[in-house]
Amino acid sequence: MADLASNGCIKCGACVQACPVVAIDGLSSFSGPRTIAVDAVRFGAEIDQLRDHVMRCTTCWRCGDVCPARIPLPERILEVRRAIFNQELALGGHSRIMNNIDRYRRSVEPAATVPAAGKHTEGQVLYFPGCIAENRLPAILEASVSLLHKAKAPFRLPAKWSCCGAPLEKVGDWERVRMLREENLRAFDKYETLVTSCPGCTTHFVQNYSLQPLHTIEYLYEAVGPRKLAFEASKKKLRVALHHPCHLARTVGPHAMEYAAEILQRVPGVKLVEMDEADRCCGGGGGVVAGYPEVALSLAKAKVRSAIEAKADLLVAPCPFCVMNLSRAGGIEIADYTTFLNSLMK
Amino acid sequence: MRELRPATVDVLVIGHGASGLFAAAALAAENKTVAVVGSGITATSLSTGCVSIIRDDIFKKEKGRIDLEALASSVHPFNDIIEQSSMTLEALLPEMSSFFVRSLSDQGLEMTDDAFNFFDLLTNAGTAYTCSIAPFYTVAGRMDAMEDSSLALLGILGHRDLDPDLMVTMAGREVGGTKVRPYWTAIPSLGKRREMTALEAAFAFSRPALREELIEAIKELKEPNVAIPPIFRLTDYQRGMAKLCSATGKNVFELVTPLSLPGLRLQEAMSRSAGAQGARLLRNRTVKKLEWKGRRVTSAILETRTRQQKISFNSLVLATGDLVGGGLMAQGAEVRDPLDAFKVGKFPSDEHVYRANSYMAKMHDMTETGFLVTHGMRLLARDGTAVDNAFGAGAALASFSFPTGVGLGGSLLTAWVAAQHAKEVS
Amino acid sequence: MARIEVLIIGGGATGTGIARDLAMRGVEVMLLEQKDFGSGASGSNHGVLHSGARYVVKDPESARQCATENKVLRNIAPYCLEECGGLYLSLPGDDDVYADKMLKSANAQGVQAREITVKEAIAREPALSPEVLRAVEVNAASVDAFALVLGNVESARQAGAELLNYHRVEAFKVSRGSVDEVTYRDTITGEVDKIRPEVVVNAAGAWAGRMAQMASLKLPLKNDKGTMVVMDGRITKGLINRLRVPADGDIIVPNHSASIIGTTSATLAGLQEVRATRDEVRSLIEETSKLLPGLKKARAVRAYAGIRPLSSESSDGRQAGRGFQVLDHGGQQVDNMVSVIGGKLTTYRLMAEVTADIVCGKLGNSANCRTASEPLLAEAAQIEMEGVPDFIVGRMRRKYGPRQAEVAATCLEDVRGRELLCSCEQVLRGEVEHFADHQDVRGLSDLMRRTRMGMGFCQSGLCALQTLSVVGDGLPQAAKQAVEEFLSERWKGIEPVLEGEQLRQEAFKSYLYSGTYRLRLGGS
Repeated sequence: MADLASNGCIKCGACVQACPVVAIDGLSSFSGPRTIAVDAVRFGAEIDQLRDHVMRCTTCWRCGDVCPARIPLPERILEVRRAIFNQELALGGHSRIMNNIDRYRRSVEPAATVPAAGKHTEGQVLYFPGCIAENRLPAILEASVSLLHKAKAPFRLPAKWSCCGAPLEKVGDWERVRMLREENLRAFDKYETLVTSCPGCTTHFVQNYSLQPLHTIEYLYEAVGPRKLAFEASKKKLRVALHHPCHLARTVGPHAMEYAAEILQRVPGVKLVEMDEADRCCGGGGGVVAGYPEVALSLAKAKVRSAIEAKADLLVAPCPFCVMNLSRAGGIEIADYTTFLNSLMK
Repeated sequence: MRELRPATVDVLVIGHGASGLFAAAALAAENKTVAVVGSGITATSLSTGCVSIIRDDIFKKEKGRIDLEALASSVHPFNDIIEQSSMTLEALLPEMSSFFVRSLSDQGLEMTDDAFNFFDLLTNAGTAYTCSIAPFYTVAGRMDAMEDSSLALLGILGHRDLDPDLMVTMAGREVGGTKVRPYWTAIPSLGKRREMTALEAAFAFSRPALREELIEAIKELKEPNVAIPPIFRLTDYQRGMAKLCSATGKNVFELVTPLSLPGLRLQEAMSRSAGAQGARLLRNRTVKKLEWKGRRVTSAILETRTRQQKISFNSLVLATGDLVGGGLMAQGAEVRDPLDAFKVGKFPSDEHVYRANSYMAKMHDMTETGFLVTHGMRLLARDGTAVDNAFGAGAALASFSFPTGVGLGGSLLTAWVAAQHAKEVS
Repeated sequence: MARIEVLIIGGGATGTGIARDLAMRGVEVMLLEQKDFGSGASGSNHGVLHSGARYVVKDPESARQCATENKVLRNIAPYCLEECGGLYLSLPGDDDVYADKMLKSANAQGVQAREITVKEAIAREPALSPEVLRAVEVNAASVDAFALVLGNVESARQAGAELLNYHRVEAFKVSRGSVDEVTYRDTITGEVDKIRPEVVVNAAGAWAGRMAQMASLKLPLKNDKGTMVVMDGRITKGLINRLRVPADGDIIVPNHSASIIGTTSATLAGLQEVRATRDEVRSLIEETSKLLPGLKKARAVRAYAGIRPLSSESSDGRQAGRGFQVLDHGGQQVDNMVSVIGGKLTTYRLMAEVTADIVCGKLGNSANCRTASEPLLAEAAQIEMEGVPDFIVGRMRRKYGPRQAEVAATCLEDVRGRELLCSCEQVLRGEVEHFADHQDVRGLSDLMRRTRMGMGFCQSGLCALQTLSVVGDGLPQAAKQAVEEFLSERWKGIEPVLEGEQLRQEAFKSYLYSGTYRLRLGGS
């Protein structure tokens, strides 16, 4: 796997220093982005030897951000995962994801009851729910629909849709990634704007489908406008810490977090507090919750600690994966951004 | 690609390392609207984090007194540049350094005001967050004044950043009259961790159990002065170190190697400082291109993965750094401007006399190349004409990158001067 | 004064091979090498285990020897080799007749060479230029020359030989038609000593002429300079050769984490230190990228030049036979000296055997040569390493072969032994610890050759100081001097490729070394 794109590595160690999994788990467990993407592959290392290392990556992409040589470390890591997958070395937890896709076209097992699309069947704005909002955290789906309704957006839900494919890319299953993409593009049919409340889906639509989707926050800010959003006052004064989901802040763009902060600050009674390393990964991504739950939990706990140190009452995250993982840590109340916003939006 | 709303500022600074942030802070302090654009890790973060204005192999110190003439002649070719400007080194240096010291201490970074070398500023001093042997000597030298000037270097197994054996091998067991002894300790709660990164150590040592174990280990040493590897984050540092010192009854400080990116603390402090002054930091954006009108640059198109944004400005400060940071690009044997906007070259200089085929001659040849500026710090367009409103600062300038330049301190000087000029034009 | 049965001068593959052979036959042997073992041609070649195909047309004798010996080496030192296979490929403009001649001659000489389709070749090596016309598959492998030489050293010592590196022969005393006394100096301590040998073997490679001169003899030697460039990454799976009359830029060899491209040929007037030049680097990359277009984007890590000691039968280095000669100087003025010149890395064992036969003849020793049948190092069980990633354990097996267990044990017994010391080559601290106290290690470069620390693409950006932390004050030089010497050796190889990514790498290294520890990187 000689890779010319890793040519520029100057061994500065920035990627290793920045990696949250290395920070939590230690180099003896997770050898870090540099070893995986730059060093180990150049010997023609047997791919299966990298498995337990590369699967610990949460795909937070911080390494790619800091690299002074602009080596596409995250892409390299995904390629290693693809090679591992092709050798049929998937982790147990990851096999479940594939089974769910094959049976239900969802990355998780469907919930017993699923919120109905309701009367939102027409409209040029296509709202894509995503697997988690539909099945694990239905409050997010309901809140997103409610938000869009309150904002008078001409939106509809797709009649039929499949998992966007993001988790499969993390697992390395590019065959299913392709299949899901083809199915979804057919199902989406015609629309003007694609909106989703999951940064994982948003990122995947950008990178894999080459679309120009908007996260709910971007839609509210750009299409509606922050001044047009009216809020009731929060019942008690709330100190809120805002977590920056990796895939929203890094891949969709820093502007999304600026929007999120600005909108939140318009809610009376809400005070946004500065949390240390708000952009550090919460551990929810990359399939690590399924593969190495203790790593995901340690990262979640570290994030909760940061929020507590900032004296926050509430830790808000605009991402269902973040919300799910952070909720495992306990210690502070966790809220999904869309749900929180909707609860106070007129 | 979708567009974000265009913005307008008085000054756009490209480059978010020490020079860019310092220029931005200086401009914001004068009530200019400033935006700083940057991406990736900066060379500042990768540097030693030490801010010496003068390389001490050039500068001859006299105790308590700075020889400004020597200083002036040593900061060549900067000297050539400001010679005909309205500023003199005598005037700008004190002003600059006091602003620098103030704005960093506001962000929790204490500066050493060393009697021996007024301009040799150590970040995080009181402790020596340093990795240069020279400042190490300085710190050790200060301990001369104490009754018992013995120093313990306490390495923590699993934390590679301070290798006491290596320090002693490099610096010897007696440094400026101070006796140095290397020790290693195992912190039981660290378990099997190896080669901890600075971030990892900060996480680990935020747990009280580990701090207790460290306190016990420090107390066991007989030396009254103890150097440990870095275990604090910037925001944690002052409080945490004070507690460590009082709990152990010793003078404890952090000592570190470059591989743990000591420059990160300086970087963080300067970011906060620029932000505190009112500069807007636009991270993780790249400049796609600059737009011109005649001999003025008028706006920049910024890009992220999904968005473009146009920022218009009255003046521009380019502080994109050297080869390491990426502000200059080595394409084959040619050093180039990645933006292809300004002229890159070498300052004529006959002062550097190195033997042919030597390392310095070869490296010099390449690393001396950088952005060319006029006496007023104005950048040159590719055709060689001076740009009206674009100024260069820092290691991006010809002859300012390490090892041929004069270090962080010299870069900060250029940033200060560039800021003054940019202010006038904006 | 000390006496010895056989004194061997020169610690390359040939010299150490002879030491091994003689010691295994029960002969008392001492070997003196002026620098570290394998510092001459053995340490600056292409690392090819020749199938023989390159020589079938012009030098059938060498070709046959290569074909036989490469099987022997595969038998006795498998851990020194990478069985990556090889291809000969022609491009438009290359002489088609040569290709046919090569195939025919190969078959005649028992050298395996089989023509395959271009489609097969490209399927095997996707990086190849689509313009390839013909492809021939050969039985080549890549060889780690340092491992091979050090394996011979180890084996020779096990058989009772004494081998000393950093010991340079300074003078012979020739009396009554014999080399009576040899004066030598430890180049590090400066200590001078003498010895009285029964037989002297001159295996000094490029310096063989100088040794012969000390006995007033002249050798038919011609020194030829060859330059090679190390490119980062394994760009090809196997060896790639140009299918034409040998010329510059013909060969690419995968070696550990890199690809070595080469080579050049230029007659050398004297014995000056040879260095690769920027022009040579540029033209090698230019030429070789005709076979592999992607090469132009690859990162050149370093370049090195070596001296090929050829027997001078013709004026053109490429025309000179690669065959070796063993010259018994009895019959000339010196009856107890034997010189061995010419030859190839691939045939070193055969050269050693022939030389040893002659030497034993002089000594009246009738023992048989066993070097072809006995493995270089005895097989040993490999041990597991808990807490160490599999790919690092794999690296250690590749580097140390049967000695993996010993080295692994050191890594496991020391609390810091499993720290990663060299990131590019994934070398553990314990590996360096294992060799740090060895008698042969007298500088950081010696540790580099034995563990591969510092050989990766960052060219010791990080690991020199880590290594220093291991050796502490254990080196003959002061710490700062040891690091500076090591770095200036690295610099010699970096300077001709100081462009692009390597320039950026060096700029960063200067932050680390000169910025922090005020160390000079490049010497003077």
